[in-house]
Amino acid sequence: MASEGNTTDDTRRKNNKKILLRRILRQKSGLLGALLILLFLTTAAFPGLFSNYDPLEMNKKHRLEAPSAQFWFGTDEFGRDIFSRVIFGSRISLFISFFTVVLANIGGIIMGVLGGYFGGMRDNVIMRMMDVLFSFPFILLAILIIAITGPGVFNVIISLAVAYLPYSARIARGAVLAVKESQYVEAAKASGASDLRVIGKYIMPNITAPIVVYVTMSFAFALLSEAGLQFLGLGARPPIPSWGLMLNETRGIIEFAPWTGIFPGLAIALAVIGFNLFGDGLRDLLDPKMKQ
Amino acid sequence: MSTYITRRFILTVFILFSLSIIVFVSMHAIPGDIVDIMLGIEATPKSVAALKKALGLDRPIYLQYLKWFSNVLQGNLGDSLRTGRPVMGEILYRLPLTLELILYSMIISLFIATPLGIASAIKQNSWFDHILRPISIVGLSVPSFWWGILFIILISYYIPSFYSGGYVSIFKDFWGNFKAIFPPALALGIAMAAVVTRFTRSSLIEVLQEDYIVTARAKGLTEVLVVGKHGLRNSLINVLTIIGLQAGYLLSGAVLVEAVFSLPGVGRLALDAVLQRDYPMVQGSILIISFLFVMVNLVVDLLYGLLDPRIRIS
Amino acid sequence: MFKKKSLFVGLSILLVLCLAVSVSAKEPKYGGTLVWRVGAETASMDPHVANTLGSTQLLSRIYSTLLRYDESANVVPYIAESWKVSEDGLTYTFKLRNDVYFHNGRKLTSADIKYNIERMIDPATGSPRASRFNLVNKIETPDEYTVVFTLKDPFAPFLGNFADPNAMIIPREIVEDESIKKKAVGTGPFMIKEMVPGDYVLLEKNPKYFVKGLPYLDQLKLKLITENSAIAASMRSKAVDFTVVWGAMYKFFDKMKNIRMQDVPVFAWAMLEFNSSKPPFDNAKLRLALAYAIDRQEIIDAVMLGNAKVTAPVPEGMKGYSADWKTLAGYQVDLEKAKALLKEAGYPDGLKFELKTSTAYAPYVPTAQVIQSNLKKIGVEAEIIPLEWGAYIKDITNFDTWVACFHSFPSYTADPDAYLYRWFHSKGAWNIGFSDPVVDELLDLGRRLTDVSSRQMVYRRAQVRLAQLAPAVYTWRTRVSYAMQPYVNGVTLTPPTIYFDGAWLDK
Repeated sequence: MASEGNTTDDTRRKNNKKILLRRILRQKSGLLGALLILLFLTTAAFPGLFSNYDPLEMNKKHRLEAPSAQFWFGTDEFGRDIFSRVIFGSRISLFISFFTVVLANIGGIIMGVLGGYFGGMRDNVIMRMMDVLFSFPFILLAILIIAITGPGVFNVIISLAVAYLPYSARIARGAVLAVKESQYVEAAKASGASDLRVIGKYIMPNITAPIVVYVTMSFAFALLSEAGLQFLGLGARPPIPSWGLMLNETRGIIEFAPWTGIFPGLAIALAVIGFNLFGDGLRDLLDPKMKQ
Repeated sequence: MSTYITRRFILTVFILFSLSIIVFVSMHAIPGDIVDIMLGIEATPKSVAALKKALGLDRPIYLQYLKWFSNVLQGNLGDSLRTGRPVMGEILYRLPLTLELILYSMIISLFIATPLGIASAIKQNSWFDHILRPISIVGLSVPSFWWGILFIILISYYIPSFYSGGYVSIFKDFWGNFKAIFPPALALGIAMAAVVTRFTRSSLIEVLQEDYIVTARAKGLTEVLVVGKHGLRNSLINVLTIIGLQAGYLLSGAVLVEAVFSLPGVGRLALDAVLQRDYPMVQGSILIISFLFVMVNLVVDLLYGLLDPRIRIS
Repeated sequence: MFKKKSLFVGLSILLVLCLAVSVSAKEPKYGGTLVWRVGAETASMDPHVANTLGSTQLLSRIYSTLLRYDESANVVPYIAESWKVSEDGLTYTFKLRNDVYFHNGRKLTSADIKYNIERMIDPATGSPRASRFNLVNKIETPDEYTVVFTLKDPFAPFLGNFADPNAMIIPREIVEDESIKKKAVGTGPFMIKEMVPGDYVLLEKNPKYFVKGLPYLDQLKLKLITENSAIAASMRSKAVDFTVVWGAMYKFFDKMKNIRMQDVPVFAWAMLEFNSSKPPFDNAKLRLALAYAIDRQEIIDAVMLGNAKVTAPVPEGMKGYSADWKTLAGYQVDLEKAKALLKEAGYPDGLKFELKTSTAYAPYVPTAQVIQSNLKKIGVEAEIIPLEWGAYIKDITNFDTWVACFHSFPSYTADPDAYLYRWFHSKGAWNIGFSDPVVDELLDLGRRLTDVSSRQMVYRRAQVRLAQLAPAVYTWRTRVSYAMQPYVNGVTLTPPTIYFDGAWLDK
């Protein structure tokens, strides 16, 4: 920093201490986020370890029972164990979110890098296309796509990925533009490196940090919009439990059986909290401004 | 500046034009059309064909589009296939609700967020800051429609007198309007409040560490003045960014919240129209929603220039 | 003479209305607005085309029909003040009231009736009601107030088609100037004052309604609310005066104080239909095997929270026509029998099939889930495809795109012919790919016979046969009630629909 000389050593040390303190504190919450994500990843990978019941098994004797020692989160109108359904629900919800994020970001990065790096006409065409998609409220876009393709896990992924594409493309493009003008990229270009090499060796590694943060954050987006889509009844095929679908199924009965809606809602919130906290932590860690 | 606005205008026209084609084509790609819905389970291929002809839906898509488009050029968005009423009138009738919903939720979120964010930034790492941050994370992680469901249950059970019989214009009945709009606006605004709180906080902290603020402090300006003059203005710019970015989220959230609260807004109009295959209504409502969205972004960009002379508009 | 007669008819309708909701001997009061909660909007403004519950709910307030049903499902006069059926059952002569005016001021005459029925039959209209009047050979109008229908064959349940609330009489001029796409000009008790799609439709009293002295209400408001919690809240807060209650909604209303509830035997079914024209379900044994595996009571308990009943193909409310479901094949769970039949049918290891249903109505997908869980027990895997309504209709009206589907539908007539013939006769308008000579013969016989007790026998035999061949598995018939604020009086609750012309508010 150019103006460092203006500050006294004292304030600098104080500032440093503050920043360090904040970083560690932030890291703690980031760690908590990582733990939450890990928890849901584990339940998604090994749902059988956590649940005593088959999430699809209907039980005539235990319909709409409130939470108890036997059924931790209660049962739904079919007598299915909600705890097991929430656990198994993590599988489908995370699966959809994961592939949505991957697809949207791969597409976004390709478009963002192409547009941002080459600029000119290519950039114009790509970004105007993204502008068109961007001005479409994403839930309506996703609904249109799912209406065309019909219900199903993969169709949900595709519809959400397309809806998120303009966001990820903008972010990637912004990141590329920020590093494009830097000296090392200029130097590499001047030394005659091919575009592919410049992108691969100098651009990509330097945009990874900001993009990783956004990728983490876009998990939160994917989880929430997947829930929204399923909540409207447009999405996966029952009986595969997904959190949003569980909320949809509870719409008519939540008032007198609140546990049917509260727990899936909490699961969504917790998973989103996990990704948000983790993303926050990552940002602090990777944000160059915080580096001293 | 004026060339900038001209360019943005051309871009807007381009966006809306492309959108109308995308929407038109995709609506016709959705299996099942309005005739199937009118006739219901007892539809037969014969009656479907006859009714399609009667409604002019048997002509090639591009002809249907051209007819629609030439009407739009004359300022006519067509008539609803379901009720036969002009699409424009329907949208204009419903638009105030959605705008009000979004405006209310922005106001709610700004009222909650700005003071909290500033306080949290100034008293960085105080107990207040430590409590606020997790709360704001929770706030932005809970889906708005879930808040909506919870609010409806709470009102229905504990304060039935607060249940609104439906939307009324603010000019007709202020209290009735408030009852109808406040709960959904709150459901929609909570997440936004959390985002703005966090953004205000972090941007203010960043600004307060900038050299010119440090200089200002060194010059002996009082803290209030420093925060007030330099800090706020810069964080306002950031908040603007958020509003621009969030407009899309808010519009999407409005679709869901309007569905949960059975509110006749333009978001639900579009959703219902898609489900009912009311083609002119889908075209019209999505066009208007997108137009609004593009306008919000334009205004945000222009305000940028006003607030921060360093950002050159070009 | 005519006046006296119409007065008599008016009085008799009034009497029926007063008996309808037996509350008190209080004098009806004029005025006020009744808010009726509805769950769907009209799909079209053309009553001859629209065929959804939402359409009937709105349009049959504005239009009226030649005849209508009373609360015990008897056909009673409405626009027609009397009728006569010839000995051979081929000629129907209706005498119309001479004081019926359309909302545009024009008097209704016999030519209107002729025009309406012809329009419904005309294939160019695309009316789903066409098949109900296809048997009409000619329509004559000897004078302004007499219509004579001559049928090709005797058709016992013919009268019921005129009482179907969907057989609405429209004025020719609104078709000619195309205003029917957006306007409703009927002869009914109410006229549209304001229409806000997605929110409400406000109707106002028709001062020239032909039933003298009615309606009592100044206005009737159809308010759209779909979420159960919101419906409950709206009744608690008195924002809504009247609503239908069914399925899971009872949970809210059973505990509500100061709300009056009245049950109505609605003719409605929910059934799992098989596409019998196509493998695998062209195999009757396979269909019956599945029927034996489906636990109807479990569906009712889980999905409808107990507020429904098992039903035979003809619902109980259709006097004497319904078979006792307990005696029908495949109506009680028998997994052993199901597995044996599965083996006989050539599927010893079970099979996998797509079960299509729609997300548009709350109980469909949950019912499909119970069916899926039931069938799993005999090794049959049903893959649920939940489609939104438009896509669903598209799929199931094309016999190449579905093998099994689940939905419910109401019957607007009180005669078993209406739906059995349409669904299961090989010439039925909505034949689901099913064809059986015995069923055809029985259903034909049912149309020709005029003697009630022999008709009852014929239809009961048809049901036994249908259960055996299982082209469709009838699952539940929902209990339906109407919940109203204590000050609501005089709503006529007939099985096919409800009428508000006699409704009044005591407040």
